[in-house]
Amino acid sequence: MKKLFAMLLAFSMVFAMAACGNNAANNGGADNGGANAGGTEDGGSAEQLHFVYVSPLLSHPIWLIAKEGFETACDELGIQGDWVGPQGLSSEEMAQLVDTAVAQEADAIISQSICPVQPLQNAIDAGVKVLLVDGDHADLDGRLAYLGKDLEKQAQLMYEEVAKVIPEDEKIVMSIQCADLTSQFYVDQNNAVEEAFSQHPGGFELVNTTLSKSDKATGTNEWLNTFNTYPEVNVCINLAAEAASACVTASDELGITEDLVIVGVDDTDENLALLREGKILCTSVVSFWNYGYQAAYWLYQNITEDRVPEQVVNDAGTMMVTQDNIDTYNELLKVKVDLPEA
Amino acid sequence: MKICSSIRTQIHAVLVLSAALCISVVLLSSTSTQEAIQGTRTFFDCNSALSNFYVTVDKMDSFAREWVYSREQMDYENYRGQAALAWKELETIRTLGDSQLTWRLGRLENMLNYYQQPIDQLMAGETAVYETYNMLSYRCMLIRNTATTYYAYLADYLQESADAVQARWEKKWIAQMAALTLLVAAGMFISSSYSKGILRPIQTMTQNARKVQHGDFQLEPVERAPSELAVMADAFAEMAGQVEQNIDVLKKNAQLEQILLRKESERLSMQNLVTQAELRSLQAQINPHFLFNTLSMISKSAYLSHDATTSELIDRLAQFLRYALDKSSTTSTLREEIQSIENYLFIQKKRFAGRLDFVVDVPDQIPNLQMPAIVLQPLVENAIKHGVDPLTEEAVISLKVRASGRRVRIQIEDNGIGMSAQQLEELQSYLDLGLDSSSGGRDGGIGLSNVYRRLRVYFGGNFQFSIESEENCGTLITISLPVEEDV
Repeated sequence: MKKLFAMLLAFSMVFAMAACGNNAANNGGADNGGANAGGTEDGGSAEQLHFVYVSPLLSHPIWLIAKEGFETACDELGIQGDWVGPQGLSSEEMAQLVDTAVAQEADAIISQSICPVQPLQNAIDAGVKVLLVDGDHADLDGRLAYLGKDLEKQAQLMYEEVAKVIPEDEKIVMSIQCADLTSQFYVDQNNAVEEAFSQHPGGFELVNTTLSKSDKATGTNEWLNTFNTYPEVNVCINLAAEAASACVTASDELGITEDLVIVGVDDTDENLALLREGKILCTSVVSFWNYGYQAAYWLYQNITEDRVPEQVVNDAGTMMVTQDNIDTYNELLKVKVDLPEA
Repeated sequence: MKICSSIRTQIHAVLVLSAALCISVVLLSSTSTQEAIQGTRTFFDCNSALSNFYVTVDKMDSFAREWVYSREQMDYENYRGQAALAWKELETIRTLGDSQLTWRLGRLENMLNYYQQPIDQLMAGETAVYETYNMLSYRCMLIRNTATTYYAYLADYLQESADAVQARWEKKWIAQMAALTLLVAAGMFISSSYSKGILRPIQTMTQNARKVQHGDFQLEPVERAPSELAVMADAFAEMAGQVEQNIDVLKKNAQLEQILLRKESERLSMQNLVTQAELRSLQAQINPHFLFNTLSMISKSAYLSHDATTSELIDRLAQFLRYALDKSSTTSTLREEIQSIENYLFIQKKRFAGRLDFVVDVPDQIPNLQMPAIVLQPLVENAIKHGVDPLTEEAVISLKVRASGRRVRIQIEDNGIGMSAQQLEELQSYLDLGLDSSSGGRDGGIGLSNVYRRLRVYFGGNFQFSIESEENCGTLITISLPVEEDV
């Protein structure tokens, strides 16, 4: 019995030491994932695809939804994914990040129209697959696809919601706030809104267009100026994610929120909260999830299976969130559409 | 007895086991510490290498752009040297062995190649000097701009390594604690087992010692004792056996001594009796002739006065006394004893008149064997004194002598008050112990016990003496004596 226990002791000691030794031996490559912004948990290899997502805003809440979708796709497909971007809107910095991706011999780049055309074109010329989201460069030759809002559809949906609360015989006096106007995307977006609302029977007038610069404080200040200058404004169209909350902040400060119809874009937490409170009428959403998820899938399917989309410009799923569908819309945004087989 | 390994061996085993346990724990802890130190050192080496990489890239770019304008071989060599150094620094970082980081280094290597392209194009005449210069400057900036990201990668790697080390340490800690717990539990069990292996034989030996102390030499076997205790147990058992043998010898010696002492006591008692008899004899010899002459003169005077009865009584008394005085310390014969008892009975008969009747039945052919004197008279006297004296009439004392083979049986019987069973038992006890019955208050003269002891001294064990009696039914004393040839 004593010998048996002595052997048991020796065995347990050897076992404990061996177990610890194995732990030490295994540490070389076991815990190496996660250092990349949107990469896989596996270590990179020479054959592994490398996708770089050059987002217009590195850590903006709405773009973080796209990041989540991108990372999910990278994990599912075993892609080494890098999520990069400037902290504030900067086309120059985005251009450098695209050039860096080309220099690093990335396999694909996903970006947005704030990024200038030339670096994206250089990337395409260097053999890098490029897919644009949210904002398109129509003159970018060779891009695989554009996934984004259908600006006409978005404008039409906005008008339809506004028309429910503005009588037909009442004139719509509108002010628009967007993030930037240096990009054609914002120009097109504004134009689409103007066109959609101009069909209103009671009349339509766009009195002012301001820029939030992707900053809520700036947006709030601009809206205060607008309300003071144009007290007749009754419809506020916010084409930047932070603009709707900035608008509500300003109107609350002036005590005129009840008199305004406020429309927003994007389903940020702040916008959804305001929607639940009834302070904004609706918010236009497009699947930012698919900006990341489906974009990565399409590029992957193109590189590995030579699949191409039927058309370059694709709606990523534009829809309007109201108090009626606020609890159910999210699942509708995560529907993946595969590219047709080659 | 099953003998186990020695106490020394067992203690050594426990010590070796404990030492192995301590060494294991120290080794495991040392391994963890060493691993953490090595990891930290490697990280700092790589951090330094990354820093050197970016410095080197700047130098490389400087030499490259200088070469673009100068086209001097030395500048080109310097550029190539710095480029080689940059590659070497990246190789240093690769030693971390992290696959993710290695992959990232591959991206930097691509950027170095990307940087090289304008130079190759310039050498091939595909690009202009100014354009090349700007491209190099821009591409160097791109590489430089990755510094923050790559330091972050390295920091992430450090964080992950730290997390991994901590996770491994926690696993090790759990494993060590589990192993320690197991080892301590097993150690306690083994220690307990060893202790029992030592204590149990000691307890058995203690019980055995107590048994021996109380005279019980049936010792419990000592099972599974270590060799040292087994030797002690064997020695103790052997010692106990010897003590038991010695005690048996002592007991036998004590019994023998007791027998000898009883013999000596009997001898002294006999000597005392003889002394008493001699003293009585001396007292009785005080001027016996004067007594006998006086008695003879009284007898003749009574005869002359025509008092024949008194004369005969005095004659019989004188004969009885003469016999008693002459034979008190010598042997006599059965016939002389009977003659003496007849004189005694004659006197007693006159004394009790019609109340007492004596029957003497002694055939003529009875052998005249030798025997101690004055044996029958005390027995008859006892019969009168204790048996029939309380009776008022029809008291009978009989003396019957019979020969049977080579033995003579003498019976003295009375029909007096007899004795109870308890009294008879006490009397028999006195006789067995050699005590005088007078001490029990029954006899004032030469007692029954005296008679018994003198018969035993004379005949040894070759005589029989029995007393039969019932309360109110009389007493029968029977003496069986051998004829003379057998004495």
